[in-house]
Amino acid sequence: MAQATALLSLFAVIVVQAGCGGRDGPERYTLSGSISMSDGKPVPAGEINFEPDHLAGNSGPGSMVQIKQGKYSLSADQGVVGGKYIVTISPFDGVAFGESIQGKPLSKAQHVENIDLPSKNSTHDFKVTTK
Amino acid sequence: MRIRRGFTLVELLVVIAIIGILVGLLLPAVQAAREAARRMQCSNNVKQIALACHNYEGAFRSFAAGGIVSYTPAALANLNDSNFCRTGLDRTQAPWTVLILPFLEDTNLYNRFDFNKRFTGSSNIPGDAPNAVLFGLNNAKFQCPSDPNSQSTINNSNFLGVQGGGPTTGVGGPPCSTQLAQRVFFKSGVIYANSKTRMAEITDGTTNVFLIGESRYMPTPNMRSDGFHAGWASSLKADNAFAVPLTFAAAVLQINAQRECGIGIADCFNFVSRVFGSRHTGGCHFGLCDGSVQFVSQSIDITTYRQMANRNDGLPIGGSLE
Repeated sequence: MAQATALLSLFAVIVVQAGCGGRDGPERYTLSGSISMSDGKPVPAGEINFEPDHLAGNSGPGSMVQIKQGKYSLSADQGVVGGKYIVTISPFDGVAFGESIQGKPLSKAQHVENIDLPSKNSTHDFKVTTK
Repeated sequence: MRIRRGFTLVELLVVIAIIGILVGLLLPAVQAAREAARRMQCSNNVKQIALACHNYEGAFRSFAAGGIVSYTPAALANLNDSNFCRTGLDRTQAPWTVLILPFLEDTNLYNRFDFNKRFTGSSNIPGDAPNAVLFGLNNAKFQCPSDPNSQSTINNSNFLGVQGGGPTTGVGGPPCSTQLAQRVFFKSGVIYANSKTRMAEITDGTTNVFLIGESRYMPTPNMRSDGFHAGWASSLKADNAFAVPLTFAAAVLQINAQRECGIGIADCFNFVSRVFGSRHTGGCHFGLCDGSVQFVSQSIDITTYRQMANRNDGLPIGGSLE
């Protein structure tokens, strides 16, 4: 009888697993690293955007994450697919100013950079050179 | 001979175990069924709003303006495509959400607005009476039941017009933006600032272009410590350096790119104009210019997604930009 119960619960677990599993879309990988200004100081706040470079033949979903104390970290469900990417960074000073919670911009325009990412979990550091 | 009366302990345990497994199977199914019902109601709301937009187009020969805004006379002289969103914005008036009210069977509410007075953008720049009071009212027709902020006491909106789409910067990027392109103004969609889009201007075909999209990023009173918020009847927020559209947005970031916004997480005002998303699993609803409603996956190719937000890019769906 105990065996039957065990078998039945195993069956139930398999049914539940099969019913709830499966993600659509391409495989995505984690990406993390640090972001600093050209003088080496970490970027306190802002955000970093990753989008597959369509003109270089890459495709897939884009990713975006907030910068926290000079660091960023993309989880797997919001991750990158690898290949050629266009990265844009909006750096902010992190000291609330007026209605802007993340403070004043640290550059006049967004920092744009082209990078090539591997198809696995990886790290990549950035330096904001745009004034 | 032994006469059996009642059940043995093992038999009882087996029965309880089986009941436990069945309930375990059923509970998630009930929750999923409830979410499926909410999702269907949400999709129905999108459909009703899309039809209202079409009826407005039928009556006035163009889709409703995303938000009507006028400029100071001094600014008008130097106005161009790259500064229209942050220079000399003066009076903000009716957004599309209010203009289509008669076609949503809300004529009584429509008649209470005064279209010669200023409309509220965000709560820190209130419009004139009676529009400032009406701004705070809830309108369930603009709410998705899956969003916890969609309560009868909150003027939240989950359905925003699509003002266009493109990358954050460079060719195809926002012609005008504030806060390092975290608050963007496009003109390549159907519903944008001072728009007057005719059906004939949607040259990509009405089946290929988004009209309205679902959002979970409307700044509601609980999203910021200072309580600044917007709502379904918001016009543009026209305070120059912090200007942002509130009832229409662009396809810039991936669907659901930002998980949450709110106190201590992120400022919703920096997301509402450039990302669509929902509390449903895996994507969000879009109403298309042909009146249909589609659920778009959050893992869609970003270039394809942005092209669908543009009314006249001249490219097939997923077509190359080269």
